[in-house]
Amino acid sequence: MKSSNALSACIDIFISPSKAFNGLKEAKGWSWLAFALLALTLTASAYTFYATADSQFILDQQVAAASVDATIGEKKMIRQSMEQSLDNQVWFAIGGGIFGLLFINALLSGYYMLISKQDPDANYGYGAWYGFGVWSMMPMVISSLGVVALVLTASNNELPISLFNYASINQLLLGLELGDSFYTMMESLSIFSLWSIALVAIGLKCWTNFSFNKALLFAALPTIMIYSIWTIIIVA
Amino acid sequence: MKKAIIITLAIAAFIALIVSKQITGDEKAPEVNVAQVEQGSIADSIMASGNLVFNTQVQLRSEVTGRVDKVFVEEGQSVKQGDILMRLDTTAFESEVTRNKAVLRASEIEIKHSKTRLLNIERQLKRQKELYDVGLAGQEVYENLQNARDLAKIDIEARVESYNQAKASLSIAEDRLSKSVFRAPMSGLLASVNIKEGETVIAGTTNIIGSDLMLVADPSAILAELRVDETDIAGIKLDQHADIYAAAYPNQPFTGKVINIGTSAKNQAGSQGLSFRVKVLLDNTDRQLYAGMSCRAEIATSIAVNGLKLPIEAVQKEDDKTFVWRLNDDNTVSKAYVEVGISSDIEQAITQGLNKGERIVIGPARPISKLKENDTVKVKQSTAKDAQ
Repeated sequence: MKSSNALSACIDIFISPSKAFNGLKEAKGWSWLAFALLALTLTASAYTFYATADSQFILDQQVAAASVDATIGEKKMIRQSMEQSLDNQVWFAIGGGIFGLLFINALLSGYYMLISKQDPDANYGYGAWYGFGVWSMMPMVISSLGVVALVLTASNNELPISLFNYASINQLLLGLELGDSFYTMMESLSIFSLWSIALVAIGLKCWTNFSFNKALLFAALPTIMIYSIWTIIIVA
Repeated sequence: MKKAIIITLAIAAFIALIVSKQITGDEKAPEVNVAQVEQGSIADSIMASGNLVFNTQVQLRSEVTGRVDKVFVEEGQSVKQGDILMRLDTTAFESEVTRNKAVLRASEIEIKHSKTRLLNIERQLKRQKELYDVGLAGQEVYENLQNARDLAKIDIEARVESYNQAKASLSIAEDRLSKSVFRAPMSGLLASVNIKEGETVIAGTTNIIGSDLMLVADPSAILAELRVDETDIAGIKLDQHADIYAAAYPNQPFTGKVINIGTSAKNQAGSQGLSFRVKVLLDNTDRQLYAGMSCRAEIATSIAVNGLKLPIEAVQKEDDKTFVWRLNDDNTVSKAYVEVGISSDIEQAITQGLNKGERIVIGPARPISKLKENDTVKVKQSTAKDAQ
């Protein structure tokens, strides 16, 4: 079973991912659509957020986040320097988001290609794996649409920046306060990133002869590595 | 079918997540700081800076020019009135006295000489008159002698005046000799000794700053000489209470009273502003203070005694009315209109509208500006007094 065209793959990636990955094996060009969707929703979410939110309120939060241990004078300096870039923040957010996505996917694609060598039959090039990575990030589309929904339904314009991480482990389960050493880490880990890991596992299983457990292990390994090192840094 | 259920559940969960976020986001009570209405006095104050000086101090300067031979005291030493402090090299002054004495004696001798000469002329005149009366002597000789006698008398007068002159010179020289020894003009502390042995003191530098040789001061009373900006001077009155913060004791103020207010504005060095000199006499203290120390002062210009007061940030304005957000027992807030009295930089007196012990929202400013009647708030941090 495989998706018949790029559009149906875009739906299949959410409801039956193996169909989408099977279709993708033969039609690498579909990835452009996935990337366009990702970029579009990312831009839409960042733009609606920054266009709606009270910029001074955003500034307050950024200063608070950047200066947890700072003195009043330092806070003032941080605020002044941030104020200058206030108008361009939306473009930094959009540009940074898309560029970051491309960059991280470039690293991950290399990793996928490397582990796929364990299966002698899997002969996909770097470009193919890059497309694979883009598709595995598709849950971000849902995440971004959620942000847009939250912004548009908000009762006032005092929007917290943490709204972007509305599905994070921290906001759903832990509720750590800003300033807690695990705050940033737990904010960055969300159910959408777990969904992406699951997609990678399913995709690897479709593209290689790995067992599902092996595929899951390889899919989760980068995340496990990053968060382990992060934890060690925080604890040490 | 099973898959459809899972997908439906997932979509429902996602929508539920968004909705729940929105609801909890809305209901999140703003965090505010709270303080209690207190009873106490408020002092509105004016800030000024200045220096400490001794209340009574005498600057010692020299009236004569000479080299310092000996300094008998050290800075910080206590002295009694009349104690010898230092001495100039007296050789020249003593010689001057000796010379003047000699001139005086010479004048005395000259007077004696003139008097003797007068006696001699008078004897001759008497003899000549007897001879003249019997016709044995000429008139011319007799008149010449008369003339010589008058001249001798005038000569004696002149010599007497020279004598007086010499006497005056002697007393000047003796005075100068006596002024080469410096004595303490009053009992007290030697606040500064700016002269060393071997240095030369110059007479007549009265008005040059720093030209004083020594400074004798009464250390029992210290003044703060403050420079009060011209915009604040109208609020300053005699006997107002002032807290003086010396640089050496930045957190323990000295207390004092305004005893003198300058009557003319002076240009403040290094600034465009004009300021008045205000003197504050410090109350007695056991702590050591030194003249010249810099200090800053808070002069209490008006005091509300025993009124209700609040931190000033609690008071909000609405058109021309003032109000505060009162915190109710169920953590809701209600608007309380108040009449305000005097205020200081940090406190505001409340004359009407509140009772002692009521809890009032004092900050932060942003959540306060968004508060509405009966909003529920979360108390972030109670003040120390509130917690008691």
